[in-house]
Amino acid sequence: MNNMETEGAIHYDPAIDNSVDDINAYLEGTDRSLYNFRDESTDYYKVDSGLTRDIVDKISEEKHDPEWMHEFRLKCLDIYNNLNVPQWGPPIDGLNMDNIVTYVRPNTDMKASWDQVPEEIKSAFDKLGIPQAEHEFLAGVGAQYDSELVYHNLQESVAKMGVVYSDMESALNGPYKDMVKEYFMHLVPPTDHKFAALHGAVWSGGSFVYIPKGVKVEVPLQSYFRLNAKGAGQFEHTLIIVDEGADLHFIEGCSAPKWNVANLHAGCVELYVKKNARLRYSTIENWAKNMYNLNTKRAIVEEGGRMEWVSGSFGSHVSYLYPTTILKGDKSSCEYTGITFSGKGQDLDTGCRMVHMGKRSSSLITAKSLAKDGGINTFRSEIKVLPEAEASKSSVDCQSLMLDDISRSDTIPEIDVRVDNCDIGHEAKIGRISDEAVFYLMSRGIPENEAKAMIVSGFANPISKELPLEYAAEMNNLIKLEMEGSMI
Amino acid sequence: MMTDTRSLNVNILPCPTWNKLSVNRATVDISSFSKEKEKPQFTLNNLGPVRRTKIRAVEAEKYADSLSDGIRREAYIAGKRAIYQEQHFQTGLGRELTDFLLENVDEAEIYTVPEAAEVYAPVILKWEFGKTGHSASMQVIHALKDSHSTFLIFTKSEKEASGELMMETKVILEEGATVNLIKVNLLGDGITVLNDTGALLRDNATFNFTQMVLGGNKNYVGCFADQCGDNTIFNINAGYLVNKDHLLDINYHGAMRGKNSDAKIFVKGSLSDSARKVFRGTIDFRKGSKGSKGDEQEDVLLLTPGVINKTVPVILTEEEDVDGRHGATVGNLLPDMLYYLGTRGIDSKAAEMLITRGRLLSIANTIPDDETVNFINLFIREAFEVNECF
Repeated sequence: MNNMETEGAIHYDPAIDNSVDDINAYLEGTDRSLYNFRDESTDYYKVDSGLTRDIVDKISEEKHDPEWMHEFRLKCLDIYNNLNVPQWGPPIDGLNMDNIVTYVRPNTDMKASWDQVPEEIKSAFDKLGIPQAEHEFLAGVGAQYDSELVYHNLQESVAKMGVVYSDMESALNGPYKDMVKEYFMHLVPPTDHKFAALHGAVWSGGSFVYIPKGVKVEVPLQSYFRLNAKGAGQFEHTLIIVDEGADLHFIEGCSAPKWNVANLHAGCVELYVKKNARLRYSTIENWAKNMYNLNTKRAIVEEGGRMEWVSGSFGSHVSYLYPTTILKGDKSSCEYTGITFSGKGQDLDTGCRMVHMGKRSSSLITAKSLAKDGGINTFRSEIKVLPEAEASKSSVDCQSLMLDDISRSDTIPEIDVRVDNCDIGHEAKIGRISDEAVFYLMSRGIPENEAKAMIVSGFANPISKELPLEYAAEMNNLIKLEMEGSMI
Repeated sequence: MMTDTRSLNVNILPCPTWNKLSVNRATVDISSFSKEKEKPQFTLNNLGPVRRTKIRAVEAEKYADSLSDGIRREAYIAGKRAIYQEQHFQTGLGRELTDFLLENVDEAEIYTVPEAAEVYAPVILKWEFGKTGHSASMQVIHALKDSHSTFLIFTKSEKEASGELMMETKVILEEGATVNLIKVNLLGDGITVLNDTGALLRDNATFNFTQMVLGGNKNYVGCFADQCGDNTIFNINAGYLVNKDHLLDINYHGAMRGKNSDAKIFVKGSLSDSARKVFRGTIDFRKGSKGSKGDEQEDVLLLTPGVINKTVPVILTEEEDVDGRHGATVGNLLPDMLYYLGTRGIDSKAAEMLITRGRLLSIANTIPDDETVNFINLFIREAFEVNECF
């Protein structure tokens, strides 16, 4: 039975200009429950809750793992059992692994046509606008429902260029199995932290992307992750290799309905950016507010390569999210642009890490955050410049906006420099909406509520302008929804 | 001979970092500390109207505690488990040093600045080490209502001196009081220093803290200001020069609890050879600090490869109507600048000294004691082994 609580998807017009006003105008009439619909009928198969060797064996069997992967999962389980929960982040006492179902397979296998996807699942993605977005501006789409991909497709013209975009399971057993074995969880080893080990033990779903040398994919690929099942975890693995001189924009979206029990997301993203290649990885995260989002993302960039992170964090009860970039090659570079919006009951601990190893490597961090209704925002960053990273540059700009006096906003940046000829700058600012700015707008006939909303949209604009229009619109929609009721 | 095999955890951040850089706290090995070493020579000048009372250290501690309502213990800061130590009258280095000093210091001094007194000539407390020495001391400065005073705490030694200096200074500023506290370290290459400061500011009080750390082998310095009153001002101006294989570990923290308060932490310095430095600075807007402002800036000059420079500029905010900012710049001498100076006959060593001295003297020149400023100038020149024409 579909427990659908809302109708009303956003209908985008790609011709519209990507400006704040236009986007906001576009979003008139949107609804908070847009992301909060549930389907309680699709959990066709699930393992028992908790984490035991039997469960890991069962997942491995269900997924037809090669032997090395099965052994790897068991090794990860061992590591998981021997590592402690991190003590530096927001409390995760409400997360009890004994209650988490680590594998839920929906009632379908993966399809290459939306028409073949079961109606109740297709309906969910329809509401999220995924098929429409694919039709209008994406080169390929992977759609995951709970633990498995239900839809995967790549435009024929892009496939002819040699681009590989498949689900992880197919990659693991297909022509690229050696490449998967070579790269899988090498950048994020299971010893990295407890939830990386958990991921290694129970991962399922996710995407494998390989962009051959010199191939520039003009339109983005997208994976969308929908976690529907109550009390479940999602552990998708994304592995992207952009070979020398290649170029890709990859978009990741995620959402879930709200349940009255804890859900867990412990995905893992490993990105390899080869010599002179470029990868942009954009994420709009809108998990439900019962979600523990303990996600790990890491990129390694070789000589002359460029990594770009664009990140919007809106959902989750608790988030630990710090995309890390290892600037290994000379003249490699990275830009991180992120926004975090925390509201009632949310403790979002986000930020990024940059490790400079290559000479003349450079990094630029622009982070913004908003806190309201008792939400807690923490921005963490780490800039590490190793002795060999001569003549490197890094700049961090962090701005936080407090929307009331019951919220918290903190910045905890760290800088570690071990070479003399480098140029490192860091700036951070925390404040509230300026009375003068509100007064100015009100003196021009704009009501106070709208004036404040305009200021918040303007604050977020440097992030939204980095996104494709449709995602900028989604992000502004999320900001609009978060702002509802906060200004009287 | 009294030795201690313990170590002390000091300079603890209020909230944990990932600790990948090991900056959540510093651990000091105190096993070689010995009371049997020679005591440095202590002199006190310009006491003026300030009243000095010698008192048992534990009594001095009780006296300071009795004037503080204590900062509430928080289980969580920034949503995370708080890690700082519980300490009624909070200081930068923290409780473990206080406990250690209480065990090892017999007498402390209380300096009371009379109400409305205006003491412009600095009260000078000087410790001068010989070849080796052990010093442990505790001071309480109690500045009564509307008083104005300056205290200069000056420590120096021969270049090769060894030993340890431990010091805790607690400053209580009553309503409208102003205290300028200056701490200067020109100690030798073998001295370990734990130099701690805590301050409590009532309404309209101003605490200006200047710290120059130029000598010593391992330096652990800290200052915590409890800005419990409204309209308080807390300024830190600190300069450092760390060379050879020396270590400097800093923890400065301004906790604003009253309305319309101001905290500024400005730190600048130079690192060379295989020097290591950790700077922790926290601007902390607590509940009730509406209308307050905080600013922390660090400017680091790296003179040679091989240095390790760690900076953690934290801002904690649980109040809406505040303005907090921080900035950090880390860089080296520009080749263009070195070339220009080279064309004027100034070699790179002299150029490094000139630039470093310029930065440090911008702080030192605010010290109202010419002799101390001259000592600082000389110390910097000797550190770079540059001849007298500069």
